[in-house]
Amino acid sequence: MDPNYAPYVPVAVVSILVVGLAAVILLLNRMLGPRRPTREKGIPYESGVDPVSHPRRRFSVKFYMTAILFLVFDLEVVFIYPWATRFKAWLADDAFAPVALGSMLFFVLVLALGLVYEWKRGAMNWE
Amino acid sequence: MQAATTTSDLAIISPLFIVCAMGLVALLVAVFTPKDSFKGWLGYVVAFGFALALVAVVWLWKQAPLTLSNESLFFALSVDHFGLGLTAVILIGGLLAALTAVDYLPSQRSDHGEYYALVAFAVLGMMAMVMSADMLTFFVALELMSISVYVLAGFKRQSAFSTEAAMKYFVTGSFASALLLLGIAFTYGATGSIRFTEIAEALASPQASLPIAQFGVVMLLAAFFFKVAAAPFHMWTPDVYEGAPTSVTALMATGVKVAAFGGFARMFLTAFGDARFRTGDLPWETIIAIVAVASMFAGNLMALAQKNLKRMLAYSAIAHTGYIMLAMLAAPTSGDGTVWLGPGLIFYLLGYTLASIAAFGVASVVSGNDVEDVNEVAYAGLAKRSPAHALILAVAMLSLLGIPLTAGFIGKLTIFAEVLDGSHNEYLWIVVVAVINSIISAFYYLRVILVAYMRDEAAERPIQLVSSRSLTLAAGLAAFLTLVVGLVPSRALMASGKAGGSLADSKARAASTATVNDVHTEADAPATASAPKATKL
Amino acid sequence: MLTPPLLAAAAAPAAHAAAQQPAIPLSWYLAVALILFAIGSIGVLARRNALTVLMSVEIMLNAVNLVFLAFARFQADMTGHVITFFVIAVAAAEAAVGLALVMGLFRHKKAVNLDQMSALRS
Repeated sequence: MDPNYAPYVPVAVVSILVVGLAAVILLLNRMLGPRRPTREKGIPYESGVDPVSHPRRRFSVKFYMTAILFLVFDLEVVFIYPWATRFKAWLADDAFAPVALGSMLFFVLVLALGLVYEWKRGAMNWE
Repeated sequence: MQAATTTSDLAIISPLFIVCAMGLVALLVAVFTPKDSFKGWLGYVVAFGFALALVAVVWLWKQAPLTLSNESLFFALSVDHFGLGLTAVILIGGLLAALTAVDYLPSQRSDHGEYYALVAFAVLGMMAMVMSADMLTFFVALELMSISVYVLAGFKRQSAFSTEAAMKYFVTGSFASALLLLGIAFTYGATGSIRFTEIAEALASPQASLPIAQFGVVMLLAAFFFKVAAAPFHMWTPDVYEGAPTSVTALMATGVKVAAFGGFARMFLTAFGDARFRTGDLPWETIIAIVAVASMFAGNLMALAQKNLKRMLAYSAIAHTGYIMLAMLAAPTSGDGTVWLGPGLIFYLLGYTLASIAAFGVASVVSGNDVEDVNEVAYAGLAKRSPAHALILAVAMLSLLGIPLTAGFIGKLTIFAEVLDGSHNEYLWIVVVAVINSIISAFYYLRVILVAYMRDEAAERPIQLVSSRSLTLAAGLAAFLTLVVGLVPSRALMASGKAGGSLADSKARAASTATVNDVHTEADAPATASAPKATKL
Repeated sequence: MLTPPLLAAAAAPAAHAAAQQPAIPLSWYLAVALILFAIGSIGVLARRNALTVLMSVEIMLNAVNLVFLAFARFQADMTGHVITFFVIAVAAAEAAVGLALVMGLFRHKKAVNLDQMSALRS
């Protein structure tokens, strides 16, 4: 066996132990324990609040709207963050500094226009 | 850094900026004007923006090839004659397509200002795609174009046809994007670079891992075939072309096709263009030859059976994809592996764009008041009801068929001659196949003219035509230009030749900056200097 | 030494890592990515629920991300990492448009099943 894999051996042993122990306990429980199901025992949250409606009902399309908005705007940080980490180094370069700032300003401008568009279209109204 | 140039970077990318600004303006106007007011005037605004960008492109054409002094731009965009020439074709197509929508959209009860913003963004993506010089720019540009067009295809929201077409286009399109990305990933893995010229260099060295590159190239080819609707991957085309609003179909048939052909032709010829690879280790040329033949037959044979004009034009688009692919087959190569293109590809794309806009323009006219089906009844006897439109339709059909005196004829002739010259008659069989296919296509193209001029059963229940000055102007202009380019092709041919030939400069261009590149890799990541570039599995 | 070799390699300078063979070879990453990609493409081609198709496309894109990162890591090159960011952003835009289209489809059909797209016959 490749000596590179030696550190993973304990992990493998623990994994096998965990899975095996769980399987044995479940099996024992099934074989030894008495089973007398009643309706009360079957419901979720046996000792909690009774469910008021079906959990799989359709919910409002506004949730999708919010999800889409979040998805798109949240991900723009992916570009801003790496830019921010490099910006200080770029500032030293007189020729490149305006380009670095300008391109990010343009990027944010486009984003802001997108936001204005959504605001006016009423995508953020939640009456 | 570079040899001093008189033109600043902002001026060089001004066509892109103008189109982008038009898109943003259209978006804001769309949202700040009352919802049910007439939005067609935005079409004129965006068309004016395209015209302005076209002027900028012509201005840049005279100074090309241009060098961008900003490094990240320099390696992302190559503003040479090839990119500028195809950009001009795209802008002409986009301009005419925007004009066809002005009165057509209200007739379909879908007059929203966002349409023109999306058209501008799609055109921006197309322009960036044909200018892109690395895989990342290429991918982002392609996605900008594709995502805008997905939305445009479903623009007629109250129509189940349109929504379905958009969904189908979205599923196939995003599948193709994933294949493209996998291809990019594996070429990156094999060569350690995403720049077209550096990929070519890395592949030429003996260290390059060819199996990985081969897998990547196959994936790139599959994505290319999806995007241009070539034969085994064309199933989505008829449904999407038929279901989308006609003005969008016009944009899909022209701009998207030009951008996909231009972008992928540059990628394949620059990055994998070495004669050693083309039919040997990375046999993309052989694959394209087979697919071209399959597309021609699939398109032409299926088009024979179509009664619906839009569906017929969709199959004809598949056939034309086959003809255009021939132009990529026999790219001339010089001794040091420099590859360029003849005038065929770009000239054909220009002719095809003009004829398609004319044909789809007439299709929008006859699709009248909210007609979903543009079948024979819609344009039967058109010559009596509206002679001008019938004439435009006839010119478009003749050009698509390739009758002398039209742009389509010169385009086909140029491509066939190029393939025979470039391959020293090795590809004679494929030209023979193409000629046979042109003869097959005569049946359905001429039938359209016949129905428009000879039949008159529509007289009993005539379909209201969309009366629109801008629509007639756009279609008429396209038909007129088709004839002009067909009658006096010399200038367009010369420009196309110059554009195709400029691909050969990419190598020299890369060599001139090799030093700049090295300095920066070292500054950015000192550790990578000694890392091996080629990967072995 | 109890630290797994991969972590140790990550801590070492990149040039050093290239010389010392990491524990998990590149081909394993590629195999996982290709399996993921295959799962995604089967999902796109065979499943009929529009939402499942959307998720499958995302799986394909993420599989490609894994390929990019694996190659970038093994070549000690930053380009692959940068591309991954762009792919993530584009995937989000695609998902947004896809969800909107699914909503549009639902309005017409009261279902999100791609089999029921039959208005356009092929």
